[in-house]
Amino acid sequence: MRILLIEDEPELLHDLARGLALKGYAVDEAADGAEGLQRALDEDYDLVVLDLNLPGMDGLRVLSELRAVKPQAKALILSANHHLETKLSGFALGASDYLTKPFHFEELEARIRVLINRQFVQQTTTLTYRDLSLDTLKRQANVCGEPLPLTAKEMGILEYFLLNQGRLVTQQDIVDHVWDGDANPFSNSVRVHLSALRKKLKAALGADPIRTKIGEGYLLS
Amino acid sequence: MRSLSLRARFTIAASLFLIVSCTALTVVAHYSANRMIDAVMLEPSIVAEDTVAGGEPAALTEPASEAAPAGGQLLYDAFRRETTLATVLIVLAGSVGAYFAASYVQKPLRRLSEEVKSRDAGNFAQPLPVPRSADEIRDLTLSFNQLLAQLQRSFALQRQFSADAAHELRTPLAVLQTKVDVFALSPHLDDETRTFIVNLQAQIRRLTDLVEDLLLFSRDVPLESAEPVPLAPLLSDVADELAALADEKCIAVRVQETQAVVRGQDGLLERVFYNLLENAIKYSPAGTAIDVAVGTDGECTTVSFADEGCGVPEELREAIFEPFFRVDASRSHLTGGNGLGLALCKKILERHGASIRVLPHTPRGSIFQVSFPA
Repeated sequence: MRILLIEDEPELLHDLARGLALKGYAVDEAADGAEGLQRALDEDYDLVVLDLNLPGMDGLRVLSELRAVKPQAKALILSANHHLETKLSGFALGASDYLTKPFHFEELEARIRVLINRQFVQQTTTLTYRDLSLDTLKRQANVCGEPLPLTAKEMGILEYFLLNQGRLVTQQDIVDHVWDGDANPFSNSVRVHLSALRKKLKAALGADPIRTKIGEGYLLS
Repeated sequence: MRSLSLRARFTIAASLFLIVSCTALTVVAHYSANRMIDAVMLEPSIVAEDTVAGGEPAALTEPASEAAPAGGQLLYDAFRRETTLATVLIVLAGSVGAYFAASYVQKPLRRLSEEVKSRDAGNFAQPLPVPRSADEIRDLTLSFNQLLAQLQRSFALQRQFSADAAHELRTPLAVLQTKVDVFALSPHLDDETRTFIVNLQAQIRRLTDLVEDLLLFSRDVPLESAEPVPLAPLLSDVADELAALADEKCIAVRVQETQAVVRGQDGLLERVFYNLLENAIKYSPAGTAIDVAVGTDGECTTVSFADEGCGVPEELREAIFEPFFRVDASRSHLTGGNGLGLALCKKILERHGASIRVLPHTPRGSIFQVSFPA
């Protein structure tokens, strides 16, 4: 799995490269926007990890120019800019994910794993987490072989969590993927369904596997 | 009319009224007077006495004292009645007319007032529509638009500062975090090193949280989005999150059922309620109870957190919402947190148009009361 890191902060670039290499990825580095774009165009990477505040060429521009030539290119934005508008611009330009700095390396790694493995994972029909397994075709969940009754929405939310293990999931993510981005009259519908799911999981597994990060989102790990 | 100032318009209107009223009054008075004089001329007693007396003015009054005064008095009374009635009617009509005419002048003022009131977090950047008249309303509107533009600039400057500060603070923190995290991946680390790493990670986390809280606090901008947030699922989730902490101290947290809904951002409100409930638990002695109640009374929706702790002394009830305030002056970090919790709650709530205050709970403890507008 080949990753290109485009980040201007030298210490960060170096440590990230080392960490990802330790995790088994082949990593290339670029400290400049223009240089990064050139490398991304010349070679084939499974993922480009892109900072926004770059010398030479701004990160969002690198992204749009890359996707113009290679529409299949996957990019994860890593930025100190937390503004909603910037995130939305990033996604509009085709970024697959957006992680704000500072971040835990584990979190970045989990997101990279999810993005790169997406194709592979989507080919398997059964998702597992410890004693829990979910058959995505039959839409059935089991814990230690015993069926766990879930509503359609609860099933959808659980599936999304299983596909994104180790990665922080926001309410918006759930709305986008489980409700297909349908405008909700009550954003709290997510909360209600998620709460019901967590109670059922807690009863079946002995403990709630989903952790809340107050004000940010949820994590299944 | 449009090209005249309000002052000129008002003067013209007032003058018109004066002219019309006085003219009408004068006309009525003349008419009545004429009628009275005609009636007096026709009155035989009065005229007869006149000719008999030979034209002397004194003679007129004396012999006329009996029959003529009665008739003359009647006519004079009639005159007085008519003119008084006319005055009253004209004044009434004039007043009513003045009331309606005033609204014509007041209309542009009322329109301006409504436009100003309609400016809220969403559209405060839009300048007010400037009327084409050349009057004081136009001047006022232009001044107001100038003020709005200044506010816009000020917000933009602050956003820029806070964005720059954010970037400068977050970047070295990110470097530090990643460095320590990646170092922790090394396979051959002894126990002492591992402990060191864990401690370092905890401090970096603490600093990161403080920086994010400070930035959230200093970004004095309106909410990015607002949606209906039902309170019941939110409060229930917050209580669940803190259930472990409460159980450790054998504290019973009771959340009232409610159908109430407020407008705002779910994530931010989650922070506020989590903060308030966590505080209540932290500052409550073991074995006590905390009540989370929701009330609506048409005017506003209130969410209150009542605990049985040591309470907040009256003189500190405003001060506790200030940044970095601690009831214990030594700023002990034993209870955790960074001193920004309540200040941040207040800020977030203000952005929601809501307010927060602390009241004494009987027999002891505090009630933190959050009030949302209807």
